[in-house]
Amino acid sequence: MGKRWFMLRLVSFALIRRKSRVAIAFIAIVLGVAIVSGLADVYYDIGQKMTRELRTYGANLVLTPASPENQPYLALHEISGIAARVPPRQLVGYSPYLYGIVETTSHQIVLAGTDFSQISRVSPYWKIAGDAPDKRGQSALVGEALAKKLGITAGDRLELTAEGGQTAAVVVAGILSSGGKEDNLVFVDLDLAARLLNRPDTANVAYFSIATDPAQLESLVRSLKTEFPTIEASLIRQVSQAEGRVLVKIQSLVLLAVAIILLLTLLCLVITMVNITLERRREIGLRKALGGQDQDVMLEFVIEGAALGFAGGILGWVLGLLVAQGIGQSVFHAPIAVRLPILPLAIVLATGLAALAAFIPAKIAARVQPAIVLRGE
Amino acid sequence: MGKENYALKVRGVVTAGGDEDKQVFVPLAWLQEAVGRQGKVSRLEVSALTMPKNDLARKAEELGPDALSRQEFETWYCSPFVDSVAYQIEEVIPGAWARPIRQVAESEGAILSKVQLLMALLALAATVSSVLGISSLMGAAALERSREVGLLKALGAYDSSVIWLFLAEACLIGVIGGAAGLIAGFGLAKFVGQNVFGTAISIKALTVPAGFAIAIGVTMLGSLSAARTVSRLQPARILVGSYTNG
Amino acid sequence: MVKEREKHVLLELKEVRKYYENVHALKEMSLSVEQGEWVSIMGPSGSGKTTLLNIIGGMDKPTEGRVILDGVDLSSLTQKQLTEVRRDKIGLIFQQFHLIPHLTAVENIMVAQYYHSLPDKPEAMAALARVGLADRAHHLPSQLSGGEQQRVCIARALINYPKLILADEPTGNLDEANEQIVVELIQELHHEGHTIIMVTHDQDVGKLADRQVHLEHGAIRSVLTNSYS
Ligand SMILES: Nc1ncnc2c1ncn2[C@@H]1O[C@H](COP(=O)(O)OP(=O)(O)O)[C@@H](O)[C@H]1O
Ligand SMILES: [Mg+2]
Repeated sequence: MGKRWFMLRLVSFALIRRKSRVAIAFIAIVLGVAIVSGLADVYYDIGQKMTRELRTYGANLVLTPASPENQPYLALHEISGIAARVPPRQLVGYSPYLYGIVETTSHQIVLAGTDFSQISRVSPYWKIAGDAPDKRGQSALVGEALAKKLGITAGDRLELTAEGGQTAAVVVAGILSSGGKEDNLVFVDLDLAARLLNRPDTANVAYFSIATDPAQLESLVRSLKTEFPTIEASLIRQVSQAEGRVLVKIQSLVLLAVAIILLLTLLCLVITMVNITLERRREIGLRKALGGQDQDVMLEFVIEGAALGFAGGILGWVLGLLVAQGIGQSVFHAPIAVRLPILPLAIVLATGLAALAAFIPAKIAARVQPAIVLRGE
Repeated sequence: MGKENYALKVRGVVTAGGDEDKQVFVPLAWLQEAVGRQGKVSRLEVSALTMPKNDLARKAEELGPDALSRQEFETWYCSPFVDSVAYQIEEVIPGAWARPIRQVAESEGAILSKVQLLMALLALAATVSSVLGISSLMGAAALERSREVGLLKALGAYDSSVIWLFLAEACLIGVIGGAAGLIAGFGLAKFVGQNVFGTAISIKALTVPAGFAIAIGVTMLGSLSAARTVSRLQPARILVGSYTNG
Repeated sequence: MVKEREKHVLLELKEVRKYYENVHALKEMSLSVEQGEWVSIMGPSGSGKTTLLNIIGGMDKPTEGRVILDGVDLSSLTQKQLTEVRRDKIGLIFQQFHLIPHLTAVENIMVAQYYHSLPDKPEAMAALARVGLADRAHHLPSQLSGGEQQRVCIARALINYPKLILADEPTGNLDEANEQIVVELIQELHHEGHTIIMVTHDQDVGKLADRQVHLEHGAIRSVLTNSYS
């Protein structure tokens, strides 16, 4: 029987037959790697996830005509052309707005035509008391301040007359409250507004909500400027800058927490490995007494540690996926992107640390005279 | 109203990406003078530190503050919810109409609760790591003291009393470690406050008892397996001095 | 006698001292052991018997003095060389057996072969058969009685054909029946010509040796040469 082969058998016996002790170290490695690799996945995905969460802020990009004096309107097909330029995964939603003055029976009001289906995506912070408007029902949303002024409540009928004489009757589906300028407007479907104001397939502005980091947004704005010279695309700074700041803060907070947990977990892994090696110091003394050279004896322990770390690294990584998905589901209600490069990292880290954690105490034990280790007590 | 001409010097150009881009900003007092409305404003924007909405705040928002019971109303009124702040502003400025800027208030709340949940989960992960770490440390301690425990058992100690001895020690260690950990934790909080948020993080009095409770709990939990191992050691085996991992 | 010519000194201790901090475990000890001799070391607990054995076996270094084993001065050797001496020349039998708990009897013997040269299972099995444990070869130490464990230990000590067998109270943890078996095995080894140094507390066992060295407070109190054998 070859020497190498026998050594590997010794290693495997030490791992297989010392089940309860090895299991403790193995659990420590698996759990440690699981927590660390899971959190690493979360950390790398947190920017993406938070950017999407931050879309509750609403639109972060606005399109307006480049030269309002000559051409005060945007063409709808250009807006949808720009929407097609944004990667679909990043485009949360976009809504064009067409504004105009119309008259009710008693007052002049500002009418805004928009795509109601986009409200929940582009302006998730709007509060609508009453029903959500639907397209077929020719329904309208009335801003809270205006509703108060005119005494309008949900369910009322509004007769709208435009300058050109076009008329339409709409039902107030709900009262809208945003705390901003929307509180003074009446919202109807874009097509209806276009017909009333006689402005088919046009809009004054379009708001885009795009889930990407500010730098990428800036470069998107730049490329839109060259591709669509008639359209002025600009960032809504209030939103995008606040986002950038919040994102950096959250990321550094998470990084700090993950770093602390990483250290703690790796420390625990090392301590456990050191323990299960230290409790075998007599065995090390015996092997030396039988004529084993220090490096031969240590090599066995290092291989044992490395094997344990390797297996624990793989299993821990798999478990780490569950940790990451658990966090993703409970915090973001969305899966966390799996980063494959973490797998080799986890394996190398676990293998290296476990081997090192076995090596150091084995070396310490091997340095002691076997007589002292073997002394009966 | 008579028309008057004023000459103003443009000191800078504002880009905000919003309505501000179409406006001219001048000192308030000057404009009040110019339009003859001393001491008046047409709109006031307030930036307030508020807390994320809870069930009570949502109820008040849905049904209006009048629908709350007396007690609920009091809690709501005294908590810095964005709606109760607006309510109080309306009280202080008669005839004013105060509404939260929902774009800010809503998203802040949403983000805040996500971040809080995330931090809570990270804290949980840290706790799990701590339990693991302590159980490996305690495992080492138990092993070192297996002889002492063997002697105790040889002298007639019950398994349970050995476990209790161990846990009592763990508890003591938890108290001492908890105190040290709290001090270190306050230091860390200060560090995070200054380096991440640029402000001091206020330290709640509750963290002290909670910190101790967690420290003791984690230590005890981490010591359980070691205590069990120790209590299972056979006194004879230990005293003969054979391999401990037999 | 004819044998006289063949005899040569295998081990020589010259004024060996060993201090542990301020404990004088051995005080100026000189002793020589001839090839094929069986020496028993006796003396009260703490008199330095184990220390002496450890120094002879290259498991510990003397503070002063020289230990010459098979012509080599151990005190001048490096740790690595000492390990080689243990590997090639010494067979160790311990009071506490010191078997590796997760290896079977035959595997424990093969570990000694592995460090010495090459693991050889048939030879290890033969060694076990020699101590009467062929049928216990695949048992773990925890599945063996004390006497059986000690016999495995003896088989292990013999496996690499050592020049010198060192046994520290090999029967100290055994009942009488097992003690008998082990003592008979050692006698057999002696008859085969092995050189044996054995620590024992048992007068009757001590008498079986060629010489009895009595220690007291780390020094030799008396040496008794047995007339028979
Ligand atoms: N590693 C050590 N450190 C300190 N003192 C020791 C050590 N080993 C042995 N001794 C002391 O040396 C003396 C001889 O011990 P030992 O050789 O074990 O005696 P014996 O085997 O005859 O009972 C004792 O007093 C013992 O306490
Ligand atoms: Mg002794």
